[in-house]
Amino acid sequence: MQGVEQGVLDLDEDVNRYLDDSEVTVPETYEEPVTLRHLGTHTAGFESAIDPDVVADWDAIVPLETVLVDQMPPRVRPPGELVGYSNYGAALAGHIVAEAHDTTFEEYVQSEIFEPLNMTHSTFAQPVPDDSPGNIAAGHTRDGDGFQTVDTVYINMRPAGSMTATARDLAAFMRVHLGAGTVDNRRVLQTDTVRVMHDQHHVRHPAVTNWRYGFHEYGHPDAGVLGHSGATVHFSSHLVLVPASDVGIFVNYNSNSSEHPPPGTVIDEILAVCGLQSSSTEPTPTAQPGSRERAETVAGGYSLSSLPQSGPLQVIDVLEHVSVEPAAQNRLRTVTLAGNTRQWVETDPYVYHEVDGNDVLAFEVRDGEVERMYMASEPTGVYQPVPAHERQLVTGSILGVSLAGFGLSLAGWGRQCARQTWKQYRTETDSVTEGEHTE
Amino acid sequence: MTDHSESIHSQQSGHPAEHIESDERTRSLTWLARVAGVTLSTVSLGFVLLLLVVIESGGELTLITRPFLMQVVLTLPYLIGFLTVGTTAGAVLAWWHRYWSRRVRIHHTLLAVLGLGFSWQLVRLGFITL
Repeated sequence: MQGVEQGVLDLDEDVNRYLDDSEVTVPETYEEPVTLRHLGTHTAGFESAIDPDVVADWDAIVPLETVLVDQMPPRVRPPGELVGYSNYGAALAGHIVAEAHDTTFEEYVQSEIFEPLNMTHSTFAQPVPDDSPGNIAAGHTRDGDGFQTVDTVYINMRPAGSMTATARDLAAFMRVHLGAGTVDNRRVLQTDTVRVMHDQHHVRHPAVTNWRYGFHEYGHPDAGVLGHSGATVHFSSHLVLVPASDVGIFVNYNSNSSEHPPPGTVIDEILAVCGLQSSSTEPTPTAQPGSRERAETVAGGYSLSSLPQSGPLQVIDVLEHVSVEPAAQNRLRTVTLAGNTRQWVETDPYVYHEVDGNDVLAFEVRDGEVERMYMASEPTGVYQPVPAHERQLVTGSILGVSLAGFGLSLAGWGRQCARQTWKQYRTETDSVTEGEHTE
Repeated sequence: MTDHSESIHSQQSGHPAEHIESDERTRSLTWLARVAGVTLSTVSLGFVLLLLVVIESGGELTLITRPFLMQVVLTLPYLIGFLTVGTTAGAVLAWWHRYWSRRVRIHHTLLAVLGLGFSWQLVRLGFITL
């Protein structure tokens, strides 16, 4: 956004215009070009991949340009159509900033953001240089009742997940956004630029959380809270801004969010205690007739657009499917394989509010068929209906029956082999005995 | 003329040497088909077990960083696909040429069907890229 202020970058310009001197070129798969606005709202239409090219060895880190050329995902939908969180898109935006300022992303951020804001403990350098102040936190993984440290990993697709910082430095970053671009009279963004960043840039559905620039709306869609989560293999974090109340919250764990409730849980509690998020109330059912029919229309399995659609990590997509079913009292029930079951009340046609919660579910229905499902608590993607033959039950049944059949077959062969060996042994023994008798 | 009639005779009733060759070929085909079926079952079960063991010992990270053992595990789905093709071809040949008893043929066909279903899901889960 500093580049936009300087007139070096434009949010609606084809990004290829900034890549003349780079080996990276976004293919013209669709007529509409990819722009920085698409990259800042994760609507560029690149196929999503969870892995930002994590490497176990720091000498496997290669220049960002190389990563972007070698690992360019296919463009799977026209830009601006729907959200699908893309680490590649974030990395491409970082590369464009570097190209526009004729430097590297790490150096640009260091000189234009970290230094002016006195964020002395922050860096995108990997590994963190030895002369950096402070101690680096180690990632941890659960080991029985305790935790054990794990080896550091590095990320090639920076800036995705590759910043090292302290809570104090992140507080300075949040103050820039809450303080209209300045901290202690040090300005890094114009007031208007901050306002533009906090404006809506992509609307998924009016009833759910939508995208600002680089941030998504957090919690209740009307609460005016912005946020962004972050996670690597052994770290998880969440940053939330409440501009109207001049509050910023940053929570970080040096362990994976699967090891404990995610940082968002702590943030929700802080927001509730401070009265910054409306507490959940019993939703009022819509007065419009036809709730039961609508519940039956939206029933089915749904897959999130921000999860991998190719490669072995695609299994995560299958495991994360959400199943929607009609429930009693014209309610909806959503179920996941992990056992997360929730009930929803229809407050407007095809818009449902969570019972005992703040979440919102909305469906886009055309000609009686669901095209998309949006969940306020999942701003990083959009749910799309899963065809019947790709549902979890079908996958699980086929895999289960196949493996059981293979196992039984091997057991049958084993038994047959054992029987034949025994028969052969008996025959040989009998013939030897007969021979001894004859002699 | 004599050569020609011998040739027809040989085609109709079979020369002893060709009988032996044909029997060996059949034995070799049936043997290959059976081996494909047994190996398909073993490798399929081995793939799932090894995948779970590697993820359990090295964490989910191994699916991303792909250490050597994970790389080996991730080649097995392609072997499973290859063995499925072999087992299916064996099943078709077995019914066509009436190899084995009916019971064994049904067993082998079931294995081929299971292999096709399993391979389909491996493609669906991204373990096999076509």
